[in-house]
Amino acid sequence: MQIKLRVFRFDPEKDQKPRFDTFFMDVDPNDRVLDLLEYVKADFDSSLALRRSCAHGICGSDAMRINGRNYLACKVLVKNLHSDQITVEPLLGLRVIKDLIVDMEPFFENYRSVLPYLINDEALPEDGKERLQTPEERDRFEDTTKCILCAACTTSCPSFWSDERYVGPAAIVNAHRFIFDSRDRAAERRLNILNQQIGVWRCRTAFNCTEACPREIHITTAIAEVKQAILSGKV
Amino acid sequence: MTNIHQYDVVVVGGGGAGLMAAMYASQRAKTAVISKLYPVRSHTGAAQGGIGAALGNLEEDSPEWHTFDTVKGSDYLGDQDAIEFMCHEAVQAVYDLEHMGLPFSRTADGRIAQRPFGGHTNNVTKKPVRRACYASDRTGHMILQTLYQQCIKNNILFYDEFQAMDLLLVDGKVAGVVAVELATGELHVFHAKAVIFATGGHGRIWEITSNAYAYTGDGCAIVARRGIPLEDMEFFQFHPTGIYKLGILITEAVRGEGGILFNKKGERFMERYAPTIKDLASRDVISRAMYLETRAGNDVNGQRFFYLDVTPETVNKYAEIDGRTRPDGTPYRVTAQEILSKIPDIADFCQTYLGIDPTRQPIPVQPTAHYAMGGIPTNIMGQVVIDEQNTVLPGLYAAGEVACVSVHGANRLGTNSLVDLIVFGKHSGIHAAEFALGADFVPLPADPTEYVREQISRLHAGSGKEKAAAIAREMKAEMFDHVGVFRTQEGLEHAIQKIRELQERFKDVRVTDSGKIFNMELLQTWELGNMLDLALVTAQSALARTESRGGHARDDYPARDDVNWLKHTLAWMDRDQIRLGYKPVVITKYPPKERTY
Amino acid sequence: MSVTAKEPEKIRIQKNFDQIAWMAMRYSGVLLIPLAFGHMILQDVVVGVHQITTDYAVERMATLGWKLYDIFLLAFAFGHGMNGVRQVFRDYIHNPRSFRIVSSILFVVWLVISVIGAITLLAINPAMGR
Repeated sequence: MQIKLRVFRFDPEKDQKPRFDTFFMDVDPNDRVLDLLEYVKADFDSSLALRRSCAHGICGSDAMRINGRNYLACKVLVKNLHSDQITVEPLLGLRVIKDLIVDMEPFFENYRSVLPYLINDEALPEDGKERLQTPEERDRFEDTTKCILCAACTTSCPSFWSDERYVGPAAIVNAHRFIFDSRDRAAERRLNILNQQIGVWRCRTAFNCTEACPREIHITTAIAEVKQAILSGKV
Repeated sequence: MTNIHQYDVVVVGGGGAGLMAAMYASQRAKTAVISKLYPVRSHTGAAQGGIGAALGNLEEDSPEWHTFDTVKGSDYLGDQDAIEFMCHEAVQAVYDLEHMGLPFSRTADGRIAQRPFGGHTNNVTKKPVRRACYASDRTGHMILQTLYQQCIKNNILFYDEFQAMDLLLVDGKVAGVVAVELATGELHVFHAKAVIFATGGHGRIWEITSNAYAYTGDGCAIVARRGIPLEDMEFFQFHPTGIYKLGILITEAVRGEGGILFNKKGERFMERYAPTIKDLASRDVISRAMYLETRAGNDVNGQRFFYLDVTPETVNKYAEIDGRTRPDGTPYRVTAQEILSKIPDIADFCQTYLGIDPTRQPIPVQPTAHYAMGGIPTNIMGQVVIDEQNTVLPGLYAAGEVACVSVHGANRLGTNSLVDLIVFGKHSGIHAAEFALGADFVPLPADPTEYVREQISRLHAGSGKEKAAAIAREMKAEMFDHVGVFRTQEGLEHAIQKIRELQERFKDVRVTDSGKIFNMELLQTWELGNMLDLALVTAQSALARTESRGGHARDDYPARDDVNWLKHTLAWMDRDQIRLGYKPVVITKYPPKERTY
Repeated sequence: MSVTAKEPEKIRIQKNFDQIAWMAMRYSGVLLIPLAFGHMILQDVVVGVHQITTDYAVERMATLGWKLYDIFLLAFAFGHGMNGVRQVFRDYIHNPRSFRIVSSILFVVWLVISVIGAITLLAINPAMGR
């Protein structure tokens, strides 16, 4: 099918302000949007800059705004957009460095701020084997282990757009993953970190994050569970 | 302007092996990781099935059995001392991961869950054993996340989005690496006592691959240009069922549930190639059969793909023909719902990428380049060894897919890639730190960035007559056709000639983007140069090996030849020529036998 | 059964204004539902808009119960709204000091209007009707 592809372009070394380049191309409806960008690089303009790696929705490199919504470019097909006009822009809320590449550092800084790692200083089992955990205990945080840190959720969040100090849905998801892990012992520290203006209270349940998540994590539910834990003092 | 940094240990690559190495090295030595991707973007995350370790949580198992299975799977080309070491270390490594917080799936009594996987057996009964420890169907993802989390906890220093481009050697000793910072285009010299390469594989030299865009073999190419040989590069695993055009894996479990492969005539072609086990034959056998069918013109639409049909009608029809029964003796019959419950993720991939429901329509599949058994030769401590006598290059280490210990020999067993990362990542990290503590810095060369600057300026100075994308396309197609699942002398010679021609044409490529900031065109053009070099090494190594073994299948030499070829290939890049040498395989307990399943 | 034998953790959470404000939003929201619905059903359904006259209003406002009802309705609805406005301001005012000042102003506005409203409602007596 014939499509019109508009791609956000900005070269900080040449351009005063961003522009859109338009490409007309004949594509297969089953092509991924990432494929279209690769066609651009191969056949039209090899200087187009974007991040991508695994190309099947697992590495989280190519989150971007496609027709106004956040997707992984490798996980959305042309036909699913139901349009012969496709506009590709960088993620909102993070500084654009070049073309579709944004500065991910504020995102990772927020992620690191919630202590996203297992904390348990108790002695390991004497036999040196695994710490035990029932399947039910594991199910408690299964959903939030799926996060690939692509930033599609955080950069779809209006609260994050207005203030990048807000930890954002991705950081809360990763805090949730440890707060509800029966092997972890630092729920109290994480909940106190999130119990502040730029923590969970900044979430206004817009549900954008849940819609944007390419891993279909129930993010708003996870955030609500963290709020509950803060209010009740129980995990 | 050049920035100079000094660390005891520098790890190149932020995937499973690199993070593991960094964690252990940093416990004793000043360590930094340089990675061209954010570490969580690494390809370790794409592994699904599990990590093999003989924990015996569900049934009797032992590291000895794991060792034998791996030796046999390697078609006896794996070094048995290294395999034994890995399989014994695997058990503790998995417990270590659990202690770090990895959310393994659990058994009812709270232990790490395990499941069966191809080639892993109870050596007494010969039946499949549950050895693969898993976290849902995201084991690699969880390993990568857990290691990255621990690195944050331990304040590991990362240089994210820094592309290593050169290894500095002075008088046969390691002095450091040179990298370009993608965000600024500036060159950085990392002056180091020890360098660990953990840069992953090079599946992108083939047209259809399950590998990430980043898998361009940078580590192998960098060290090869500095005179270090590459081992067993002719051995590359092709998985028979990748999604058409995309290469995304469709697990063997689909065929286990009764899925059947068809060619364009609707013929169940595996009947002719493996009359006994048909569609459940091993990966290399099916990949080879598909290639022969394509050559006979039996591929669908002439587009080199086949149908994998797992609709209940087909499954039940052929189950009846085969007389397949369930364990209780009743005839094997399935419903769409039952199939969906067994392969939910495959169903999701089919839905997302093909828009089809696999219980209603067949899945278009073709062989996909999957895993490099070969790479930078190392010993079991991860030290790089540079000749037939296994002479150690002081201070240089390699771990993970980029390395060839060799534990996978001619064919890797499922789940062993993750074992390799964890075990050899850990030991190279420990050993590199120890080496660094007892060594002095080797003085940097007078102009450490000279070679990198030369490479970059060459990419900007081409005539512009040739397009990088066109060369890449031709290379990938040539490799897939002639250095793929099926090889012949004629095809390999054709490929070598073609790659040499492409290397010549590559000199006329010009990078159009002259900017410094995130010049991805420069990076990707440089990567193409790496891939062309590795393609040539692969083809040359394959041409010389006149036998069929594991992942290396020769039409003109169909049998394994232990008399002449029970040895590892070493390939040196001497300027424009590839020089080959050989070293013996380490055999301890298991003398080579015919490999039948 | 918990095989990890994790002690039920006593988690101490430091109370802070944002947590209280978030809860206040929820509680006032919940309270507003019966207050506003009660008001609406009474005025628009039971009495009916055409029957609402000054006399009727004065008569109703003369009883202490209705005075309190309307004072609550005013204070909670206005408080809920002002808290919402405060949240909106937060998107635009990133300086913590400025934001504290604006929050204080909103609080004062809420307090003054609520008090004036309360005084007005309390001051209504039957003699005011004609």
